[in-house]
Amino acid sequence: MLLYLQAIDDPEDRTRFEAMYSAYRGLMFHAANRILQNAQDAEDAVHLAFLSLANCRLPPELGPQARHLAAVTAERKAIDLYRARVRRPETELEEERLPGCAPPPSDGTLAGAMAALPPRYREALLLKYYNGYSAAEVGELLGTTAANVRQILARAKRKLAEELAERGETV
Amino acid sequence: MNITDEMLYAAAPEAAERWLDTLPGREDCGHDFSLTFEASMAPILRRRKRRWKTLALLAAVIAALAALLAFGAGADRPDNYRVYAAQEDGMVSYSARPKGTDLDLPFRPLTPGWTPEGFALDEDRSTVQGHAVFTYRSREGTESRYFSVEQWHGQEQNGLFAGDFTLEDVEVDGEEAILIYSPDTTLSRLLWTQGTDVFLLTAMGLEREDLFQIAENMKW
Repeated sequence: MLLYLQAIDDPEDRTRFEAMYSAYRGLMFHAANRILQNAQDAEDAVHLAFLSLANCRLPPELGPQARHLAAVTAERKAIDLYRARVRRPETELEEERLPGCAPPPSDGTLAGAMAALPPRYREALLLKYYNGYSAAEVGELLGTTAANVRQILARAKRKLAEELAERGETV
Repeated sequence: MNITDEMLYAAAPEAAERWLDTLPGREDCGHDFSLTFEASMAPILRRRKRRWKTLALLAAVIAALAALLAFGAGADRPDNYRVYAAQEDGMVSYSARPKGTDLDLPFRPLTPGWTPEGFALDEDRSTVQGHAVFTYRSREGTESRYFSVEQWHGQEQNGLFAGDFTLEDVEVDGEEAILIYSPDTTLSRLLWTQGTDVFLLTAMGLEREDLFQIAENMKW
């Protein structure tokens, strides 16, 4: 896939983009490769991720938020590629069973439960509540509509509440 | 339990950190990206566009995608082509069709029997599934010079990339080939077929003669 959206216009945006490219492309490769288990496919996913990043509002500086954005975008492109390659449209909840998508152990806290959500739920929640993106911006990054993002967020919150209620947590 | 936005904002940094902790740290994230990847990223890292052009760019991309679909359907291509490329709206689409598609023939990755002076093999990604990429780099000088030869076995290859390139019909060992080059970036591609295989040579900073020397000296 050799298709670019050459839409980075503002010099400041370009500097941010280049900084993210230098700093996180290795991380993005690993985030994609642990799902795809194939270096060439993982590079394709990283390329697609940068195409998405080229069209989104980037964090003003390198740091945890930029790192998270880079890794999540690569993960999403890798999952989409994986699904396309195996022609199996996994549902959101089944995505956590994909290679490399095993969640970190949850300790019953809200943060732990958020980190352990299925990928699509976690990605939407953290892009909104950690990276500060609107539903439309999250939709751009995840390749879906703002309306669908709002649905994903609602379902993610319900799942979080269920998980925590099962553990008897009050947050 | 009602989970409020305030609770989610408060917990999100730790949640993000926990998930990021499942990925390797920066020191363990090394990966030598392929030349194909680097070449594909080069235009997006070099080019600067103005915001008011975004819509025009989007339109160009949509047009390019439409062109690719038409391309896939065989529009404007001669019937008996081996290699074909076309440029429209800053997008180059190409296709190569090997003479034979007999996959019973074993895949034999070929490597350059000749390389420009100073170049050495940097990466070997040959697979048994009928695909190989060999990347060579020059360690001399400060300018980045490299090339990769990508080989596919028994299958048509189609591709699309952005940039202002010149397309030229040429020959490699008497077989039709297409040279795609950019005077501005010293990035060039040579596409040809050989028997049941398709080859794409992608080069940065090489002379035109070097490309043909490499292509005509592929060895098993």
